[in-house]
Amino acid sequence: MQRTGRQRDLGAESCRREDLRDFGVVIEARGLVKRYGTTTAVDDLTFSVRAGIVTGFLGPNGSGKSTAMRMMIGLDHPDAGSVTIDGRAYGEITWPLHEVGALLEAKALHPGRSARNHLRALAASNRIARSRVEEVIELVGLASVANKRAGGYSLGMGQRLGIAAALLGDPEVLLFDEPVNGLDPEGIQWVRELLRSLAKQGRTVFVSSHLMSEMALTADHVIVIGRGRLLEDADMGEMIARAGSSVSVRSPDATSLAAALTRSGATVRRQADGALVVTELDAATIGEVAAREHLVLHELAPQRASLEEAFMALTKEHVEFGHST
Amino acid sequence: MNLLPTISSEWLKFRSVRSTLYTLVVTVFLCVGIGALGCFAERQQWPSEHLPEHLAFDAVRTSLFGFFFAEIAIGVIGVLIMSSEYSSGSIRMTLAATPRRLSVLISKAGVLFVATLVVGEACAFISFFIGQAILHPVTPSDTLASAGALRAVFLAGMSLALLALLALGFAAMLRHTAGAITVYVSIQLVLLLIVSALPSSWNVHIFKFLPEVLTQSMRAAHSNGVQFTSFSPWISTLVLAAYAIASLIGGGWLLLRRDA
Repeated sequence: MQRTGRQRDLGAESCRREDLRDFGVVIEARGLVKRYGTTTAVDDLTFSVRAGIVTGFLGPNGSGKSTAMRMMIGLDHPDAGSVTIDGRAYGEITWPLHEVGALLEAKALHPGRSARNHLRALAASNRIARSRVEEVIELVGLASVANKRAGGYSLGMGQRLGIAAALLGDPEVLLFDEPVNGLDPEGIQWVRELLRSLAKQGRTVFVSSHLMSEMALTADHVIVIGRGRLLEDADMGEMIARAGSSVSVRSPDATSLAAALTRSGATVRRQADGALVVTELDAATIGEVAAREHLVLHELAPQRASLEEAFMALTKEHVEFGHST
Repeated sequence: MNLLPTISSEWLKFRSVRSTLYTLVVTVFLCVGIGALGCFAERQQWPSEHLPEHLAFDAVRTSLFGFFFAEIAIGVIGVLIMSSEYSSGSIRMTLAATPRRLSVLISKAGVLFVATLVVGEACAFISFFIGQAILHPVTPSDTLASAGALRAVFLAGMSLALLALLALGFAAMLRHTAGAITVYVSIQLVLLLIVSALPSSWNVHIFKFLPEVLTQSMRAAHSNGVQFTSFSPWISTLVLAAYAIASLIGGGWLLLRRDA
C-alpha cells in the first residue's frame, strides 16, 4: 500500500524523474539530538532516505549510528528533533512490522527459544501468517537449525535470524545495523545481493556500517557521521569522484611508463615494491597510453583504497575511542 | 487497541522457553511435597501437643505449608519473563514490533496471571487433598465443605498469581534479573525479619501489611492459628492485589519513559 502512495507523489515530479528506481523521500530525520549525561551521542542530525536505493549510514564505531537507528524505530526518545517514516512517527504505526523491518543487533533473543518460535512470536504480535515464518526461515538459510535453541547460534546465524525478523512483515522500509558483522565471506556476499535486490524492488534500504569499502560495494548514497554529527550526505559516485581514485600499475618498463603517463597529465608515485600509483588518469586511459608507447603491462588495477582514506580523513577527528557502538 | 495479537505473541514466548515450564513444574512439586512433609510432622507432634496448640490448629493451612516456598519460585518466573528480555536484548525487537509499550506489559501480565493462577490452584487443591489424607486419622482434618476451607484453598492459589504480578512489576522497574529477584525475596522474607525485630508495640501495626502475612491470612481457614495480627482473608487479597497493581503501574510508567 505504501508503494502506491509513493508512486502517486512521483507523478507530480515525473518531469525530473531520471532514475526510475528513485521513489522519493521515505525517512526524514530533522534536528535529531540524543544526549547521555554530558556526552552527545547524536548532535543535530538532519538527513533523508529515499526509496529504491541502498543508503549507507557510515561512521566509526561509537559515532552514534546505532543510537540514531534506535530513535528511528522509537526505542530511544530523542532529546530534540524527530524522525518520520512515510510522514509518521514509528510509534504511530499500528502493525509496524508490515511497514518497517529492522535488524538492530545479532542474537537479540532469548537463548532458550528456538529461531522458529522467536519468529512465530514476532509474527503473532503483528498478525503475520505462520506460513510467512517458514518462508523467511528458508530465505535466510536457517531451515536446518530453526528448531534449535538460539543460545547455541553463531554470530552469523544470529545475524541471519535478525535479517529474517526484519523481512517477516514484507516491509517497504528496511533498517539494518551492521548486517555483515560476524558473517563469513559467502554470507557477506549474500547480504550485499539481498540489500541490492530489496532496493531494486523499490524498497527503502538503510544500512549502517563502519567500513567504507563495504558501503562502496552496496550503497548508492552515503550519509557519513562522526561523533553524532553529519559529515557528508552524497551519492556514492560523487564520493568516489571526490575521493579521487587511483590506479595501481605494474610494468617491466616502469620508468618509461611513468614518464609517458606524466606527459599525459597523470600524477605518478612509485611504491617500494615497484608498483606505480597513478592518479588523475583512469585505468582505460593508462592502458591506451601504454599501448601507444608499446609498453608491457603486468597489472592495471583501479584502487578503492583511496575512498577508504577519504573516509578516514573525513572522520579522523571524530573517532571516539573506547567505543560502545 | 487490539491486545489479542500481543497476548498471543506473549503466550507463545511464555510457553516456548523450557526454563519457565520447568520452574512451574518445580513449583508444584515443591508446594505439594513440602506441604505433605509439614502434614507428616504435624501428625507426629499432635499427640504430644496441648490444648492451645490444638485450638490454633488449622488443617487447611497446615496442608498449604509448601506455599511459603512456592512463593519464591513463582516470583522468579514473574521476574524472568520480563528481565530475560532485557538480558538477551530481545526487548528491542519486542518493542519495535509493538511500539505501544503498555500493551506489551499488559499482555505479559495477563499471560502470567492466568498461567500462575492455574498452576497456583493446582498446587493448592493437590496440596489440600494430599495433606488432609495424611492428617486424617490422627488430627482433625477438613473437606472443601468445611468452614473457610474452599476459600483458603482458592485464595492460596490466587496468592501465587498476585505475587507473580508483583515480581513482574519489579522486573519492569529494575530490568535486571538478579536485582529484581533480590528485591522480591527481600520483601517476602527479609522484611519479615526486620519488622519482627522492631518493638512489638509498633510491629503489630506493620505486620499485617507484609506480603508474607497477607498470604498467610489468605490461606487460613480460620484466624485462630495465624501467627500475626492480620487482615481478613479477603481484605488481605485486596491489599496484595493493590501491591501487584502498584508494582505494575510503576513498571509501566518507567517502561514508557525510558529508552529501551
